[in-house]
Amino acid sequence: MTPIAILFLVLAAVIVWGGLLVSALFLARRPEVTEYPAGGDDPAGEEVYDLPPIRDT
Amino acid sequence: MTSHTPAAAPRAEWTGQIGFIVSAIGSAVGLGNIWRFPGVAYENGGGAFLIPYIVALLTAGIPILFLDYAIGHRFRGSAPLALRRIAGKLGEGIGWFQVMICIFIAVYYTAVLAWAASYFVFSFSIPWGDDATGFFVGEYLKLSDAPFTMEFVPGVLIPLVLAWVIALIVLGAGVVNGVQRLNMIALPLLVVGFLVLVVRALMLPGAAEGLNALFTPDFSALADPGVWVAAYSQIFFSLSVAFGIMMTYASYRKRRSNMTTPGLVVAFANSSFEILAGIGVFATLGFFAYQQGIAVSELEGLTGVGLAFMTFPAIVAEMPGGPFFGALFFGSLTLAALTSLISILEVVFAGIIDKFGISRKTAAYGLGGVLAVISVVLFGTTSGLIALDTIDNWANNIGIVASAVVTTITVLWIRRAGRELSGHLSTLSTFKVGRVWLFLVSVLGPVVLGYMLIATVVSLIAEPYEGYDPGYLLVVGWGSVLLMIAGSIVLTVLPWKVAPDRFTPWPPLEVSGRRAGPAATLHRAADAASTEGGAR
Repeated sequence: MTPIAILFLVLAAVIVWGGLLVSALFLARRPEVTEYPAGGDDPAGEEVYDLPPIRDT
Repeated sequence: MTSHTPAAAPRAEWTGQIGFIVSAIGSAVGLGNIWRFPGVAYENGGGAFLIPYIVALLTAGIPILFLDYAIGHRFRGSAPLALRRIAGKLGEGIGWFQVMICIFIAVYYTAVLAWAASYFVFSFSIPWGDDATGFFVGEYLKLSDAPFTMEFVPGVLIPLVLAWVIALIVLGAGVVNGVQRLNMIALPLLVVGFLVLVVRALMLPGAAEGLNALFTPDFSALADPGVWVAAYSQIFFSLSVAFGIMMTYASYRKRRSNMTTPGLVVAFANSSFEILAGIGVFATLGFFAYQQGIAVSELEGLTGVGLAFMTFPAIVAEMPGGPFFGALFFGSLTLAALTSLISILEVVFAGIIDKFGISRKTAAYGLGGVLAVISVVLFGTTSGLIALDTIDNWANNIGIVASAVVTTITVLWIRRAGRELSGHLSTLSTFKVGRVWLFLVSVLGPVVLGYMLIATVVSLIAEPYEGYDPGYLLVVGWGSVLLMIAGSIVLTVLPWKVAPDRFTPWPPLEVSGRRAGPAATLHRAADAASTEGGAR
């Protein structure tokens, strides 16, 4: 390979793969914010299928 | 007296951060990464193309990805539901337009998946011999000159039906048990398989010449606006933004979820795979040129269907260990197409489930069955290739780009929700966004995409696409866009099973995008927990 082609291959690898590495490390170190606002509890943590309609009597 | 009051059911959720990231990468990494990026980069300045490509990633790809995440996550819905909640009926109409785009894309994308799966099997026997192109259009597709026929081709029909059956079973199984599980298996297989292919390609004679062709920069290309448009187009189409996928996937995240940092991982992973594909494809093309005693620049069929089903099979036939290499290439293509197809169909089913309150299985097997029949009739016949090429061009270059422009203008200029959305992302995420992000999505994005849209429309009006019959293009190309618009109007007019506007976004934010006070927080959070719902 020519030196200029090697340079651009390395640049692409450093910027794009480096970006992936850095963002993955950043996520691993700070997976969540230190404090969430109040509330925001999910009503259910698992999938629910075919829930029947609620009957009001 | 007993009355039935439909209530919103709990929304499906990924099991965690990894499930979401892997599924989003599975969606983003598709056929375009493997067969489009390498050729586009080569034709637009080689190594120099990386400059506009990275600029486009940072200024349009990632910001618009964040916008999709913010809308889907804050408004907890498929594209029509989330956009309805943020921008009323106009927003809902845009959401259904995105669903219609996905319907059109799914119908032909499955055909390409079926071709790739067929070629995976063919790789072990290499039935095309030394005439890969003749085999593909003649023996395999049995391509007709007629624009539409009902002559079915069993070799295409059978894998096409199988592809639909697999996709619908996966989608019918649910977000976690189907979509996430498939991605957790398919994505690692795809990455490992493609890495082996790249290593093998780099050991071939002529590989270095191929890499020289791809990475040697032509800096004069940077002065050509067309090269910048090509870079923005590549990033835009590759990331699966602006047609509902990332919005839908984000809506399946728990409320207390980091949004932007996983988005960075998804965006850089997608581009990383593109660079990897560029290396693998051009190392292989370098070998092909070496075998023929010509320069890489003299090769034809460097992108799309031509690269995958004509050039690569020809290379496989000449290569030592060709069957193994072919199986790796077409196996990768099949897995990439399958995970992307699943995400495209999920947009459709999520929209229908949210609006009409039907079960996921009914949506998958009922509506999915109808789409499968349309797909088989259109693409299981001898006229499939031209229809595929035409619909692909109009759905992507007109449909998706128009959807992006209209969405950003509606949400950020008419509804003026930019600060609310940036506040949502920054409150929940470790990577904060602010004024720069707002500028990129509300000014730069619409301007660049608007320019792309106008340039495409002018070009399609000035000369018939690929030299096809103008009447055919009017019916199949522009007619597809018209059908998408008509479908989105009809679907918007139909009534909702559960009132979509009975919803309070969480976390509560002030108009400036800052967090609201504690009293409002507690009250509105309780509201939010009781009024969400939708696709299960």
